[in-house]
Amino acid sequence: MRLRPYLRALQVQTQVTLRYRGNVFAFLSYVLIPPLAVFFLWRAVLGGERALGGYDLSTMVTYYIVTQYFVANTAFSAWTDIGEEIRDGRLTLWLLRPASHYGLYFARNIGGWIPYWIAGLLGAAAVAGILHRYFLLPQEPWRIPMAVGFWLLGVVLAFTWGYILNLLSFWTERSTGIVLMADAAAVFLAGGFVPLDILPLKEIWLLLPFRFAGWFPTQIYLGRVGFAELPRELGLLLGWLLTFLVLQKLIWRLGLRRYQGAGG
Amino acid sequence: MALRAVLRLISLRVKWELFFRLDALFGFVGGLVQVMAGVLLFEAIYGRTQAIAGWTRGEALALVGTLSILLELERALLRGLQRLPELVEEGLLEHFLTRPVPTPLLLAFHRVNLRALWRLPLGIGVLAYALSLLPGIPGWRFVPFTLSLVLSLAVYGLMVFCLVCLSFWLIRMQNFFWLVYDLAEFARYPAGVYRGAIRFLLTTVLPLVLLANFPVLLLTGRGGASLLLHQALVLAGFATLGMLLWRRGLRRYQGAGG
Amino acid sequence: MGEIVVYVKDLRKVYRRALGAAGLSGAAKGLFKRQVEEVTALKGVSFEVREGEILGYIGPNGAGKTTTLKILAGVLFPTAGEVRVLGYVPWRRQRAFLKGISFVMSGRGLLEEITWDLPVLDGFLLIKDLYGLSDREFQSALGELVDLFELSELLKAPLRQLSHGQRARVELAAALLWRPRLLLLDEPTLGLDLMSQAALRGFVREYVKRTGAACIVTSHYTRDIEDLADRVLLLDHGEFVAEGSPQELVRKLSGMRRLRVAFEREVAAEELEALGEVVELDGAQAVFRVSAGQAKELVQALFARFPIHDFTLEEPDLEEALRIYFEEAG
Repeated sequence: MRLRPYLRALQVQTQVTLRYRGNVFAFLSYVLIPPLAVFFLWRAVLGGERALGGYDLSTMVTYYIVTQYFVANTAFSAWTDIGEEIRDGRLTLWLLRPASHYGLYFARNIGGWIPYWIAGLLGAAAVAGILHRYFLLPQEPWRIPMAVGFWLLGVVLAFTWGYILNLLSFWTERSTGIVLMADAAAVFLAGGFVPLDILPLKEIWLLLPFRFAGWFPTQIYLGRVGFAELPRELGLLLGWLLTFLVLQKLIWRLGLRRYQGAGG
Repeated sequence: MALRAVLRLISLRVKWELFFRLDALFGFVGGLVQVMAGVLLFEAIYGRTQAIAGWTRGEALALVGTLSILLELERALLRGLQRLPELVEEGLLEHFLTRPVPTPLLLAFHRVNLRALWRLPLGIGVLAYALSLLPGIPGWRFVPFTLSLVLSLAVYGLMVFCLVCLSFWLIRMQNFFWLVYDLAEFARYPAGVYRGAIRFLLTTVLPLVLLANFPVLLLTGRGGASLLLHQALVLAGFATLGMLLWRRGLRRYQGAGG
Repeated sequence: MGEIVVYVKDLRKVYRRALGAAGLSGAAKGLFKRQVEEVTALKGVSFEVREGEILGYIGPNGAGKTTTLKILAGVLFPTAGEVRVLGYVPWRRQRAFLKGISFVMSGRGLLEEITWDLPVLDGFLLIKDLYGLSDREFQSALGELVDLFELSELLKAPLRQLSHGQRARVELAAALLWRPRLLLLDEPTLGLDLMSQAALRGFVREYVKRTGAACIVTSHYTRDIEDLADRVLLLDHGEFVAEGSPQELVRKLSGMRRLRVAFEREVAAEELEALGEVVELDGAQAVFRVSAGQAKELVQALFARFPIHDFTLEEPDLEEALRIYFEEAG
């Protein structure tokens, strides 16, 4: 499979993103501020050596900083122009192209995010620095790459899910609303607002795949998941990913057929 | 005359909104997630603690509800302000500048989005639930509560306005105003968790704690009229700052070219 | 002639523009520092416009036309120079000034910005409240404009559903509801079909005639200028180049004439080229380009050598005169 068109798309999108420098700077605030704000709350609750659900203040602060980085950098509602491509007939070009629509948009989404991934690290480092008294580093060094690795798979998962929602454009003009709605829910389900394992009804939240985009990688980082459990979780993650990829392919075919049937 | 223009703008948007009922549903679900996240956070905490910095569960939930109401009102009424960076960059500000009505007013209300009001019941619902946990609140307290809420809305709107005015100097800072919305995270938590210099900062220069906390304090009777005065002063401060930034920014726009 | 509505003296405008760099590293550098260049849009322009007068303002892209209009509308300050519109300094944006002018840009209008999905009449009502028109003022202006612009079937339709030409009509009518005394039109016919262009020109002329408003029009279409303008100002690279009525301008720009000759037999190019510059040749018809002074000589030479059925001496139209001017200017 030729990678060139995808790499090119990725690079171009990175450049485009950098032109909107304001967005990149504004992104810093999104990575930095929420963990800082919630710190005060948890200090009041957990200050003085208390713990809640196994989280003491340091663990909780670290949880928020790391998870906020992961969640902020995961595009839950994959960006595509597919709605417009359908409306103005550009989609017909895709029927002729030897490249994958999904693949190209994936490359563009990743490319567009790269500046944010980097800027986000600065933001996360900044808030970790401000709260350095509480910020924890993992005991075992392998935890960091392992957490990032799981997260990256989670990113693919989230993108595929978002892409599938975007495909609803084949059937309805209202897909934007659905996508946005799902986006808000996804951040919650990834553990962005509250650690999933201290919530009421945690069994439900822990069943869903969105935990891999935030909560789970952070659990690895925090040392709350043992090495032995990783293979099983990886299996689950890949299972979900495979399911979504198959679903994506299927819906794409169905949608394209509908599009062609309608005369393009 | 400006008032009539603003009222007209709003009524036109009402007509426009009626086209988009389904989107209201989607917006509702999105709002639901936000509110429930806030509620569940406090439920998780209060499941194992009695009070956070002296705030009871009912008071904390009242905070969630009030903040939600405030944010939805801002979304519904003042979203037009967010377009300033885009208008400046695309040279469309001229449409608003060449009218005999103060441009900031036109900007603020030209995108009234009443679909957001579909989400108000969420905040009101949570607030009502919270009140059921707080016995003995006399009805008249809703008056200072509402007044405080209106003042908070004005302060919040002015904060956004001051920030979007920066787009006169910083081109392509399209999403910089999200900074205010991110800062609103500080408004989620009971005032008691903030101490010292931070608390002072968050009730004056960056009056985020003031936004939802003050109305709730007035409602539960834990705060008095001095809070309203405090809010009024902060409002005056931001109004002045806003006017200054707008004037300066406009001068720069007029000098630098559309 | 009426009062002076617009007074401009030695108008100068210099812009500073940010430059971007290409490639990935350029884009990354662009995050922190931007290079800036200075562009002089206007180099010292002076003119006046009186009541009831339509001034055409033409020139190539970048000549400074839109900049001038924006300064007159109070949107921009000049770098130097004196400007008075209706007695006011425009960039002070006083309310009485803003109520007296109307600035119409091509592309999206105010109605499109705000009332896109709503009936046209709603957009007009917004204008009514923006400009503080009384019910009576509004009804009378509305009646007149609906009549003039033939809008009666369009009032209830949402802007979204109208054709390009209809939208332009509506936006222009909306721009006249408060009876402005100065109309500033920036490329008003851009993107419109020929019929709509002609219609729009007719509306503007009629409005000016009825109300004695002053009007400044910029356009790329020389038809607009020939049709509308009493006087034309030609701008190039921010400098004033020539002025006059459309016909005077033609004459000033090029002293050339077109000689159209109908021969009684077919002629070949070689036969004619010795005598003068041939711009068109079609069997027995030819068109020469000749300077006014030499036209008589050419006619006599032709008569001496060829059997001629008929001939006419034409002036080039504005478009050709401009083309010749800009070709020679390089």
